[in-house]
This record gives sequence, C-alpha cells and structure tokens, in this order.
Amino acid sequence: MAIDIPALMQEITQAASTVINEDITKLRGFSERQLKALATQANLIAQGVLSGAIDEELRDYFLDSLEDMALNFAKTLRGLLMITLEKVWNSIVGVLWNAIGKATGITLLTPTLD
Amino acid sequence: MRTVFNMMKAASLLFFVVALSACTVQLAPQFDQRLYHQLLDTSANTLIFLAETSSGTRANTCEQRQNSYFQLIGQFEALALQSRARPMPDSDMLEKINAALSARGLNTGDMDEAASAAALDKVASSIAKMQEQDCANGLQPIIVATFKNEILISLDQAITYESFLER
Repeated sequence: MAIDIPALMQEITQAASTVINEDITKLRGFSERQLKALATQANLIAQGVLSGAIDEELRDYFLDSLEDMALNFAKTLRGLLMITLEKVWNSIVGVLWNAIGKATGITLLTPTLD
Repeated sequence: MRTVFNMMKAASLLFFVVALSACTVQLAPQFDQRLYHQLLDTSANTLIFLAETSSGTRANTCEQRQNSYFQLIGQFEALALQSRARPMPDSDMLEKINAALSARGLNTGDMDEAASAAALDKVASSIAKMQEQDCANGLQPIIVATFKNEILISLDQAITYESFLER
C-alpha cells in the first residue's frame, strides 16, 4: 500500500502543531512572569537602598542575586525548549513510523536514541 | 519576549540538526512525581513562613525562627540533590544542540544537570542569607519583600521546569 503523502504531511503538521501551540503558550507565560518579577526585584532593591533599609553589603548581595536569577531564567528557558524539541521530534517520528508500518503491514518499533 | 523569540529561532535550526537522525530522542531527565510533590509542599511551607515574617522581624526574636529556617534550607538542599541525582540523557543529539546553541550566542553552560537544580540551590541560599540578616539586624518589611520576590523567582523556575518534565 502506498503512503498518501499529503495526508501524511497533514498528520505530521497536526502532531507538531499540537505540541508547539501548547508549549509556546506555557513558555510565553513563564517568560512574562519572570521578566515582571525580575523588574519588580530591581525596583524593590532601589526602594530599599533609597529608604536606607538596605545597606551596602546587602545591596551587593541582592545585585549578585539578580544576576544569578537572570542566568537561571535563561537556563530554565533552555531546559524547557529542550523538552519541547524532544516532544515535537518524537511526535513526528511516531507518525512516520506508524505510516510506514501501515503501508508495509509490518509492526515497527519506534527506535530510540538516548 | 525577545529571548523566547531568539530561542525559538535557535530551536528551528536545532530541529534540523536533530532531524539528521530518524530516532526518538530524550533531551531532558525523566519526570519525578515524588520530587515534584515535595517541591510543591516545601514551596507552600516557605510561603507560609514568608507571610509570618512579612511585617518585619527583630533580631532578638530570631531564635524563635531558627528551626523554620534550618528546616526550609535543608529541604531545598535535599530537593536540589534529588534533582541532580537523576540521570541526564547521554545523547549525541544533546551535544550537537548544545554546540548549536553556543554558536548562536545562547551559551548558558553545559546541560549536564536538570535546569531546576540551580534554581533550588538559589532558593536555599536566599533563605540562608535571609536568616543571617534576620539574626544579625532583624528584617524591615521592605527587606522581607525583597527576599520573598527573590525566592518566588527561583521557585517559579524550579516548579515550571519540573512540571514541564511530565510529558
């Protein structure tokens, strides 16, 4: 049995789009929360310094922390992106292997690459 | 937003790197339900503690809060340890992706541990610093608010990543 190429393309697009649309919404929400919280942190530090509540030593600590948190934000975003990439890729491979299996009548196990 | 956009552009490039091999891949550690629920419980306890101190503290009453501080620091250090203890996928693809990201100027270190581990370490160190300040000078409300926001940023990073691992 020949594979229906347009139908397969549609199925692949659908599989990838479902994952991407769902994950991008979550990634956008996470980024917005983090950027707002980091901006709020900068404002809290400034207000604390201006009021005299935050001394020089504590100011330096909070500024170093802000840098650490910005780096951790980038690391987290990259980690989330890896998960999305994994899900998209595996969903496409699943659709392709399933199509080949149906066309050939052979039950194919989806190979893994760890 | 620009960071997300840049990372998505990089992702499209990486997708073709991954597409060179027609196998399923694992690019992140497995979801750990126990760790995730412990993280949610400990986060709730942390928020309760921060609410209790939100109006400020005095150094001479620090002793009353020491157990709470030690308990929370220990719990977050244990969670960071559990997060790191999971095996990371040893994938050629992961190395290629890492190299491609670095080439695009998105170098945030090697992906040799779960992204939540550094965030959990940060929560523990933030609470430890808050304890140090509390016992030395007491905490004015603005300082509690600054520590609280700092802790929330890191908690959001850890919780979002761990929940994303359930796939």
